[in-house]
Amino acid sequence: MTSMNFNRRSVLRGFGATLALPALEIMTGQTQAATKGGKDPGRLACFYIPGAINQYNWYPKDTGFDYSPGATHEPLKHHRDKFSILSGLSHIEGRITGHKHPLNFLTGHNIAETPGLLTNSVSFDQVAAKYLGPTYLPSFALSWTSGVGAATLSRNSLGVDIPASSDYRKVFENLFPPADASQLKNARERIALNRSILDTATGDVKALKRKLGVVDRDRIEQYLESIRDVEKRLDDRDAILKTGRPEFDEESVRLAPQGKNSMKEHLELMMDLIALAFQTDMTRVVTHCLGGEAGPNYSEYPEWAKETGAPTRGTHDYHHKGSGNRGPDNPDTRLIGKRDYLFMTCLARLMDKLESIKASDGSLLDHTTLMMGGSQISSHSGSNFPMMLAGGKKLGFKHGQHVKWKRDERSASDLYMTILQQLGCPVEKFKESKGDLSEILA
Amino acid sequence: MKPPNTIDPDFTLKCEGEWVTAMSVSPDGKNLVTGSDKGVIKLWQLGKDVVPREVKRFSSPVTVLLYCPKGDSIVAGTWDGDLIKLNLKSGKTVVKYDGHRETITAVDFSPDGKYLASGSADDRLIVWDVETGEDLLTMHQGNEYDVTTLAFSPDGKMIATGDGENQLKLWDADNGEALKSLKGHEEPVSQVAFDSKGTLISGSWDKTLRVWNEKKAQVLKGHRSEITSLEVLGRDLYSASEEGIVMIWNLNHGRLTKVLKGAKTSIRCLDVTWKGKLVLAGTQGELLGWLLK
Repeated sequence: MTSMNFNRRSVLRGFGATLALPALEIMTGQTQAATKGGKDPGRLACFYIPGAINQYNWYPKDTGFDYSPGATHEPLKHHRDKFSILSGLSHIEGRITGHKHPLNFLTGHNIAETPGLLTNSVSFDQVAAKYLGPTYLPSFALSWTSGVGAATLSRNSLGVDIPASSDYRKVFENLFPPADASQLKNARERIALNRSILDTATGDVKALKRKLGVVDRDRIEQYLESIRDVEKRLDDRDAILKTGRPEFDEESVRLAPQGKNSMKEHLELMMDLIALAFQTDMTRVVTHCLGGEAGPNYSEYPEWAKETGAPTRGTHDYHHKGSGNRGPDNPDTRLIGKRDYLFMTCLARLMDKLESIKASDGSLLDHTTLMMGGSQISSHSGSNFPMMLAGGKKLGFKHGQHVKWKRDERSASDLYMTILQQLGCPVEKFKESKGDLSEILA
Repeated sequence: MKPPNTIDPDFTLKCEGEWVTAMSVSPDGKNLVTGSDKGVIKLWQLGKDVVPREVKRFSSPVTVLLYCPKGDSIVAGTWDGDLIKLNLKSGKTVVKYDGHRETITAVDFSPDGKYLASGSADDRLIVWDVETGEDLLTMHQGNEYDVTTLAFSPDGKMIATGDGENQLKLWDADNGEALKSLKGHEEPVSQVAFDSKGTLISGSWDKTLRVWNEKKAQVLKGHRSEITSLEVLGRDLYSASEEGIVMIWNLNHGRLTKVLKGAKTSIRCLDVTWKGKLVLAGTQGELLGWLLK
């Protein structure tokens, strides 16, 4: 039996039963494109590692395709040819320090260039979201806490924060068109209302534009562009509302954690939603801030402290004391290494899931770019990002290597632009990019 | 300038296999409670016990302990965010302060003992009715970097807090209004205390202590690693650090007078009793005591 057309409901119908079965590996299924005989589009998921990393376990000693992965990446060993470690990238013009790294991780904007004024620019995931549709949601932002600022990685074309959510149920409910007819009607009415508000706003702004100078006209043009984006998204959403909610095994989706405040469980729940979103093609772009610079104080930390001999501290303090050049045997550094290892374990689990989902050609993993990294090796630093890229074989990525660039030789924007281009986005530049990273292209 | 006296510990009590994460000496100086990263609270009779009595066991590390003014109970907080008043004789929870969502990082009683202030990694400061457990005031810090430390002013009118964004804040203890922010530390503020005159003193991960006089903060330098604990008794300031050293400073002239050595690793908690003649410090697997002349 293959995994196609096999889900919990079909089993239940077959047996005439009403009991739910546990999710089985065989029920992994296929993508919407594979079901409909189309061609799978590209997907993008970006993950931000907060604080700092255990550099001793993260960085391989050697480079190239024969490199020996560090201890942190051990959970990914069965995906050895499907990911790469990228060293030496950073924001060069957008270099910052302190606690604000999540704000510009995906934008590259120097948010500190005007003292007292926080400005930002579009994050590259949103550039991808602009071109990767149409989907029911152009993108969604996940986080350890719901909100804006450092909680979210995504910024729109005006550089304005796109709120992130940590609420599993809300994420799930927002991800799909309503199943209920009255809710569907409400959703259509909301779209009509939003369109009418946009029409009014656009009309007023166009009149205003004629009276403005060049600089203000450019700014207004940016504003109008963001409105046009919203209009297009409303059209896309309306069209998908008409096609209705995709069929999938809703009962098997886990939306409530069983433990109290577990990082592992939180990441697994969120990553399962990402896999589901990509499989059902409700969105093709996701960002996920894996934690804050100062929290949460997940329940794993005290356990790791006992295992490593580190004292009990807050997450922020572990980020500080566990990073830098304190030596591989430093208890706090070893503790951060355990956290990094958990990130990789969860990433490996997501890759397993995506790989098990059949796409139009290859697997869903082959059509998905997963970027995981952070801005800091040592707490507050920002000059050498710990980065890795996984998946996307059908998008033209060449993996299984450790690529190391000299400091400030290439920027993170070069990576972002490379990803955008491989996803098929018609962009020639992103922020400070100077060209693609040919080393990671097949 | 006369160099400070360097003093080794007079006694060491073993706490095998655990970090001593919190401690508090009873108001009469006869007893000591300690908490550990294994979630265990122990009661020691000072000057008598080598083997303590286990009072309570939590499922997560004990992060704060404070004797109640009457000396019959303690307030205990944990990594998981539990905050309780515990009767030491019965070992039972008599009041539960239910409100914080994350690790309890600091507690202090108002000078009249009626109110308890608690800080948390959920970035909030809450003032409680000690006896009923009712939350009377909740102050949101305004950033996500934990209320790392707090202290009531001697007149009970203000509460000082520190945070991971290197700032101190002063709050009106009656209405929760944010009165003032104090900047100067270059790393997170780990400790705050008031002296008996009401002068605010802080310690930081930037390795310095600051005495916030009216016009200008006095910076005390000497520690070579992050400040982890702070106590003020009379005109003496006691500061402990990650390098396992306690320094005693005279606040009249800001001079370092004594250095207490002997801890093999980071000191996580500190208390001073017997009118300054006994200094206690908790570290990995040990409780150190210095008897001062």
